[in-house]
Amino acid sequence: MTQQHPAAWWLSALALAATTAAINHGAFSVAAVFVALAVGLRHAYSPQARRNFIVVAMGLAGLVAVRVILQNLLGYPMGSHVLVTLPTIDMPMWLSGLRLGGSITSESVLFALSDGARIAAIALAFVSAATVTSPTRVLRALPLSMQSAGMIVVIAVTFLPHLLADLSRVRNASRWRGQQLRGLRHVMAQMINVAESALDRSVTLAAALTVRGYAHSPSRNRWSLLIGSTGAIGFGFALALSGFRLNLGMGFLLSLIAMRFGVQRPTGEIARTRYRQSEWTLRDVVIAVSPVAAALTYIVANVATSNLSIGLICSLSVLLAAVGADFIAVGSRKSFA
Amino acid sequence: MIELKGVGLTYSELPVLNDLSLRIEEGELVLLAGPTGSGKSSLLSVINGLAPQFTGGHLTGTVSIDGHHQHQTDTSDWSRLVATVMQSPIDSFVADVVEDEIAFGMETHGFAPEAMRQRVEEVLDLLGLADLRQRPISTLSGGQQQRVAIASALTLQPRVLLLDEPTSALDPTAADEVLSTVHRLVHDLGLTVIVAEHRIDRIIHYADRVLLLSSDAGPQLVNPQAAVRLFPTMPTLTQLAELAGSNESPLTVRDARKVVEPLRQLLDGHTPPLRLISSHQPHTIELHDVTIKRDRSVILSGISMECARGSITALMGRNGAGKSTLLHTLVGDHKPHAGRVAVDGKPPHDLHGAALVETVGLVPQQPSDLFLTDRVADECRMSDRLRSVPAGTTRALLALLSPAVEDTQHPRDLSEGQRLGLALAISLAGNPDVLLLDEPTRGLDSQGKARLIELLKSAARDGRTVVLATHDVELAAEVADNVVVLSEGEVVAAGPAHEVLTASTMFAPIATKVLAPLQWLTVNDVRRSLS
Repeated sequence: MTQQHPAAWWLSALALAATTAAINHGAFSVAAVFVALAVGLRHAYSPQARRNFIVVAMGLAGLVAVRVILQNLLGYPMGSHVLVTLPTIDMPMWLSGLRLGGSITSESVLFALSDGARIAAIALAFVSAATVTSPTRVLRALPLSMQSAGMIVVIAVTFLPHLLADLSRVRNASRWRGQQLRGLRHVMAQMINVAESALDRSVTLAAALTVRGYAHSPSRNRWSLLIGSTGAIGFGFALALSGFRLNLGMGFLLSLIAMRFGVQRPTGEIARTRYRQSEWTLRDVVIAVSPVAAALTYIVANVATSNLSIGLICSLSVLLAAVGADFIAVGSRKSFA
Repeated sequence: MIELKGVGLTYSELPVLNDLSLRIEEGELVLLAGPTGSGKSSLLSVINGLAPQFTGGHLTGTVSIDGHHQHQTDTSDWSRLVATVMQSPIDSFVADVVEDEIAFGMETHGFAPEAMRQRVEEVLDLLGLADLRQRPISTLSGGQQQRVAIASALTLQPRVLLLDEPTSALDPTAADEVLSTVHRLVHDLGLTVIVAEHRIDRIIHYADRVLLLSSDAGPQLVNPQAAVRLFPTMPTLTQLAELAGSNESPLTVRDARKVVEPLRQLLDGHTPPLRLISSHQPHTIELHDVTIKRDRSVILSGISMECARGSITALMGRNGAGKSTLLHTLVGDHKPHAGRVAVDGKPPHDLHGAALVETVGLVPQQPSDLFLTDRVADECRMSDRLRSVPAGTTRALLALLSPAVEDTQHPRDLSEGQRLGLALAISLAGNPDVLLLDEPTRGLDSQGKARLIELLKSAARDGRTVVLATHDVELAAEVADNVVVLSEGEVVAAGPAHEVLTASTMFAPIATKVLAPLQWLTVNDVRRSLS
């Protein structure tokens, strides 16, 4: 399997998240969750990244479950299709806005599910992009003026897997010391040991980057970085606050693009070059564009037929066709090359 | 090429380097030697510019390379003059794939893509990495990783290459491969190289000069023949030459063999001492057909071995052969997928708390994994409490193992040897029947190693069963009764140390190589027989 351009995956994730936020329909959100799952599980850059992805995905599933339970146990039911009626517990006066128990309606459950799926889809889109592109490849693709930031990000990203490895080593070591895993104090002591190891390693990595000339003399670029990113964030906020739901996602996308250009003005600095620049292939284009295509289909079909479900079906089929094409192109094999 | 004038480095009032002035010529390979804490790593970080910005401390004096003064050169340009290969390269890699890692430095410095392509090819060939170019770095062996680190340091065509203990984590073959590569670079490219190293025996014959850092005599830059007699512990070759009555200082096994002829005649009629464990000692460790898998790949396969009470067994083999996994199995971290493990007759993975502590103690590869507090005194108190031994037991053991350690020090601030001492004290406090050590000589200087050897022998005399995983052939030759050689998770050789070590080309100790066909393992054995 040839490696795709990291930017393709990140653009695709951004577009998927933005589209899901903009369309805000349960069925689309669920489809987006499956797309993100398929991407993360099938294209992970290493077995470890795949395992981390699974852990995060399960955590998100748990979050959705909590969301559904809380909505139905605490909120007032929507709609009239009652599924079950639980005994109601009277709340004290000062909590009279809440209700515990009572009837649970299918409308409430559906609403909580689709809202949960939307949040999960947006989060999973980014997690899957982080799973399929190795942080070191992203680091190398960053423009010069973002290198200091890039160094921090890479150290942060490599921090977690090392932390987990250290944790299991230190827990084993505590066992040999004869320590039973009891008490907050002992757990804290282990956490401190682990944090110290991770810190040592991060310092080593930063030192290694420094002796190799990474993140050198960024001073001349600081102002353009500051102005560029402030402008971009302000632009994004302005769009997001202007009201439209659609704009929230698009504003996010545009602000990132603006930020990219805002920081792209190195003044007389040697530019960073790329060894064997990843080619931007047709596959990359398809990856990056398919969520956008799905969104466009939705809008076009809505305008043409003014029937929400037809638009939805069309856009879903575009999204699923992209995933299907990916399955056919790559086959069922998993490759961590 | 490198010129230091009055260089001093002070960490919070504590001088690490003091008024150091020296000149290293172009194309020299300089061995940087000295006991732990003598400032070897500090000197390297002064030269590569990490001190004081990165390490803290106060730097005085000037450093210049090829006429460029460090304080007048910015970090980026300086990183093109001096390249550094850090102590554990795996922690300092920034890319996943060999080729990308090698190109990283050039990308940072904005080389044209065509120039990069060409130079990557050259460096790949220079270090024999062409076949590995697309491999993920995490799948490489220790020696290969070290070569990748050197390759990526070389792409910027530095004038000076610094290596901080490049072989401390490597098996003998890989270590030799790395050092001979460095030697070739000095000759082919005229590179100036400084190597900090503890295992003098391994590297001294490659060195043009030796920079000796020591607290009492002050720094000395001398040629290797003179240096061998200045070390606190003389290299094995020199000791053998001395025993043979020669005042020469052979630096290679070949030279030594010419010199030791009189010694061979002296030894005629003496037989090497055999370390045989009396056969009626019970077996404290028994493994029967043990298989361990991780992520569906087999780490250990069908391992069977036994260790008698009071014996010392050395586990040897390449990086990644399964030595550590075997030790961790003995302490119960892994439950075998097949086969049977018994320590003191019980499966270790079923033991917990006090029962485990009284049975087996492990000193891990990174002793700091054991430490859970921020003061040595607290660490010892905790150890006493967890083992329900009288207060002060661990502290007394530590005082015996590393006398210089103070109560108020942070365990992580200790030197490599002191950390090992603390970990050993913690493991021994519970009075375990079985003592396991994973690479105990890593980063240990010669005095530290001598103390470790004494300690292991006395532990065995006390009736403990000792198993150590090590790359250090000399350590195994000195202490081991039995040697087990692992390869790819299988036992390839097992038996008494004098049989396994003398029969192997990879694991033959220096004394064996020099005195062959006589089968002596160590200089100390020779000396004891003669006296």
